[in-house]
Amino acid sequence: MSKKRIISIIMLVVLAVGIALAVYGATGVGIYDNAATMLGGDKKAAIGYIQDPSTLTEIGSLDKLGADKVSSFLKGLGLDASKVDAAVDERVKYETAVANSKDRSKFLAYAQSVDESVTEDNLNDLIKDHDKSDPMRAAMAMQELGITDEAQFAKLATNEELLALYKEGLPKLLENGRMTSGVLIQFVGIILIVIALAYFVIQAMDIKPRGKTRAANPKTAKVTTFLLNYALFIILGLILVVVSIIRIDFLSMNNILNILQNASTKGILALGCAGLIVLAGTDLSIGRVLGISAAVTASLVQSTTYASRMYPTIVQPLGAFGLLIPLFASIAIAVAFSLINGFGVAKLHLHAFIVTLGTQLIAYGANCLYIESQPSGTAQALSTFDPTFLNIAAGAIYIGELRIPLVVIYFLVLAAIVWVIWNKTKLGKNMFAVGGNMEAAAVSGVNVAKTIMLVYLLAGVLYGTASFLEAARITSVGANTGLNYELDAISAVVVGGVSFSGGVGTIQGVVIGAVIMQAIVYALQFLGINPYIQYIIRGLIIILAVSIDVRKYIVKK
Amino acid sequence: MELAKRQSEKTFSTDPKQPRRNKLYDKIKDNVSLRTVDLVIIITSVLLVAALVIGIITGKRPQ
Repeated sequence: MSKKRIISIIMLVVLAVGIALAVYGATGVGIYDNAATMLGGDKKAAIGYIQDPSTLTEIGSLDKLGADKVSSFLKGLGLDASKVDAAVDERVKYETAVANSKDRSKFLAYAQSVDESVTEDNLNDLIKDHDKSDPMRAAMAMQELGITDEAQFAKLATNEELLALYKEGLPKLLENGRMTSGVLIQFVGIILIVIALAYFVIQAMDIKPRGKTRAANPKTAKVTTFLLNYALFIILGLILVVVSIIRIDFLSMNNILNILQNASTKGILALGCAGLIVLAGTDLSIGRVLGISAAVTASLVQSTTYASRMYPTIVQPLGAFGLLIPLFASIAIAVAFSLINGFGVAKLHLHAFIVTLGTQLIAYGANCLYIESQPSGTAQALSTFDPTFLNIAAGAIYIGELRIPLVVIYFLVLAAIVWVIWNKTKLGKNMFAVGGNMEAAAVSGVNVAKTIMLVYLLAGVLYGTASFLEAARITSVGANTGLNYELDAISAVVVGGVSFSGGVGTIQGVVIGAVIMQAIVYALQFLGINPYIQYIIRGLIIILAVSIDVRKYIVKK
Repeated sequence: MELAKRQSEKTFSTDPKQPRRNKLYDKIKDNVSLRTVDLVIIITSVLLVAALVIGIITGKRPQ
């Protein structure tokens, strides 16, 4: 047996041990969950009770928790089994007696035995009169339990015996160290899994292609290539199919229009960003630039009846034409940032990643300062907008009963305009030339720097317009507005087929990408997936899209 | 045309032995095999599906 094979077998064992330890460790970590179940409360409260059992004042009903489970949980904590059995039995009997006293027919029979005047007809009056019925129910339960002493019954009601056992047992969870060791064992397991997987991945790099086997199955190779090239769309389609099956209302017209509405502002950002990616660049400042442009828009369109508005000197509503001022102001701010990015890339030959990272921070800082400069002296979000602004930027038109948001129409119009710029103008042709091969474009007489600046300018105009519309859509603009929007825009562009290698992309692809990405975000929310897992999924989608893009590039070359 | 060529030569390297590589994907192409990229696609796809399954299992859907 070769040395390599022996190591592979050892690594398989390491992997198996790692998985086993991770699973075993997880059971130890799960004690908190188990304790929470056994206390009939949530995990947070259970942690508090375990750390300070004196704060525990009540336990859930044994009927719901399961008497056997509680009994084995307490015994598992090392408590005296006979004591546990006695306390649990006593509690079960008490709960049964109390439940019987609440049973209408049983209570009627008891009430008639102690008071002949009680009949089926006047039972309801007796039940409503708690001053009379409650002591009667307690007496009934006491009779069933064979207790005459009220103090003893009160002791049963407060569940003292069982509470004392819980208080004695819970600290043992920490004493026996199983929780701590559970965490550590879990991590040891994870480390072993990573080591084994790393080994196998590295080994996989070394495997030489087996010419005969690969060449002998051209059909398999074709299917494999298809699956690799379309992996992203297969998975995204799968998500949409799964969510449509689990939640049939996902495909309702209202929902589809909501998806389109939310995709529109992100789509406009993606239209701007797509041009930069065609130039083989990127833009990490999109979100924060949108934040400051939206803040400027918001400050200019606040209702004149709102006392805490940013500019109290604006006393007349702006009106439909007046709204051009906040629109152009928003565009001006976004264009200013875009031109800084463009200058850095075109003239200083800096990497777009670095320049836009810098402007992202600048835009964020400027936005925070702007919002903090409100006359009220607080950093509260800018809200309460003029109705005309909301009607124009976030309104809707009706076709029959169908409500079509205006922002969707704006998005489609802008997409059409950008399509014309990309496909029918000199700028568009130069952009693809520069993105495809900068050297060749320069030799052919294309002014590379000017082209880059113009594409950044176009992106700025689109960001500014998107900011104006987004302010109306979210109706409140704060310091965190725009956070992570660049991820949505870039992922929409990449999913839409624009290549990071530059020189490749279509506007229709970007529009479809924006809608697909928004539909996925909606689908994940519909499935109730944890928001943090949603971030992981979106990150993986971007990596997958770029990997497929790289694959296509390598195959092409 | 000559001006453009001179500008281009000024901007980009003209050493034929070491042509300027300003494309990220060219660098990837030179250093990474197709097999490795396929492996990355497969691993990412598996992770994506795993994240989705975990998300759906642990998800709290509003009733």
